[in-house]
Amino acid sequence: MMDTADLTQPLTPHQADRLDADILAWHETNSAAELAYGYRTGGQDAVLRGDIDAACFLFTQAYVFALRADLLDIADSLWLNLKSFGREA
Amino acid sequence: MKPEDISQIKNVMQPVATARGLPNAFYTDAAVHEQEKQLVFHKNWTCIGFGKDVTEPGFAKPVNHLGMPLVMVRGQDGMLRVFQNVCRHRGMILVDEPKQVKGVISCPYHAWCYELNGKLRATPHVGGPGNNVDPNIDRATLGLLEVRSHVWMDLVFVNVTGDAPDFEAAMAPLKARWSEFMDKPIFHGGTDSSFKLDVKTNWKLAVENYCESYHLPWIHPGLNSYSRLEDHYHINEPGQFSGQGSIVYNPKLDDSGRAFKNFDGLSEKWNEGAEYIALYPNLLLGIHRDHYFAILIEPVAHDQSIEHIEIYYTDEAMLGDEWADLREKNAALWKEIFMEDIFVVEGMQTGRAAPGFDGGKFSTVMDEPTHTFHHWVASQFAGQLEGASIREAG
Repeated sequence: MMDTADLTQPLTPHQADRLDADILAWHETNSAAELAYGYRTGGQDAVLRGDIDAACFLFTQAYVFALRADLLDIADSLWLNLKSFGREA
Repeated sequence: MKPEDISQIKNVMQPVATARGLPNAFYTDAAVHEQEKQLVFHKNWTCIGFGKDVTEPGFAKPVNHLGMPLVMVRGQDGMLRVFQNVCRHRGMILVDEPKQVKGVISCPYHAWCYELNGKLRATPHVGGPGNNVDPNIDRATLGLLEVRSHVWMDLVFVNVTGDAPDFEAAMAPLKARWSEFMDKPIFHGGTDSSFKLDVKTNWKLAVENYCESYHLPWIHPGLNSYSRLEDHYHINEPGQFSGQGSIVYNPKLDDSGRAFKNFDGLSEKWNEGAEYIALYPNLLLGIHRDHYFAILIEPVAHDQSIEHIEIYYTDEAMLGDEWADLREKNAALWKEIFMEDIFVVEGMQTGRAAPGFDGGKFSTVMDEPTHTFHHWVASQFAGQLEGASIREAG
């Protein structure tokens, strides 16, 4: 699993490829918690790259999987993120 | 419903001495079965399941209730709620098997998420990729559709139409009758105290057979030595329930004298008393000083039913391994009796194909509980009768 701490710099191409592969694998196994963390990392990477639309897409994915995994603190944090970008009510 | 069926329904509502039973169509006609869903089940309090199947917060169990997809959900607050098991977005089934859903019920299609109390929590990408807001989507009005429900004696009841009398009022006569057992803890016996019987019969025939003791000497000869016909009495609460009672309940499951713990504080009546009541429409209950059972009759089709039998005890200690042999004996005893009834209820179902059968003639002495049930079913169609009469007159 990717490091779940906040990213301080964008993922390298290799890390990004690895994250994509992990996410696909976690979808196969319905690993909601891993998907929440993985998509959140992807969203953080998109923020650092300045792609807010992509970030909000990935944060939304992370938000749903955090809810499904009952990771309420993570879900609340993602919701605040999305709200700050005007993507949540 | 055909005119001759309507005429026969009127006969059902006569006093037992002159009444006939429900007409054949009530057992053989899929169209009448469809009418029953609305008139008999949805308008009344109907049992759909057991609380013991949804004990943990965040656990959900789907229920196919007469073709209606429902889901029982235990909230974080410990409360059991029943919802229509469909997403408010595209009508997708939300929960397809009993499972721990944890924090939310999430639609597998577009991932709309509902809290365990039914509130719509998330609508991902509903306003476009990464945008979860659409001004036309008001989450406050799009929660899961909750079905009016109530849990009593671990039985989960629903009133689909939402306009039945208050549950407490509806159950008051039975609660009064069994007041000595009310508000006392009950403990499900576990896997050895749970079984199902798939029966090729209309659900009402299972109810009717349970109501009366008349058949005991013939169908359950094993009871003759210790629970004779004359040791039984009728129970009649028109409009509510009917059944039979026994005055010689004295189980001997173990030669060494071991016995299940009794409910606390019972009066002498229950030392050897037991009662077996059909709570309309489709719930069969048996109460004894040392255990209680419920049979939920699931009407699968007009000619098929599944009986879900669950046995409960009076004390958590009775759930221990040291009591497993007795629990298994008790369950086996009841299963044997209930299985003895199968050929009868299936035989009556087959018999209902006889076009000349007029619903049957009741014994005024022995069949009153059965007639009370028939009368109740017929009365649920009363509005239909009035409408039909008007149409006939016109």
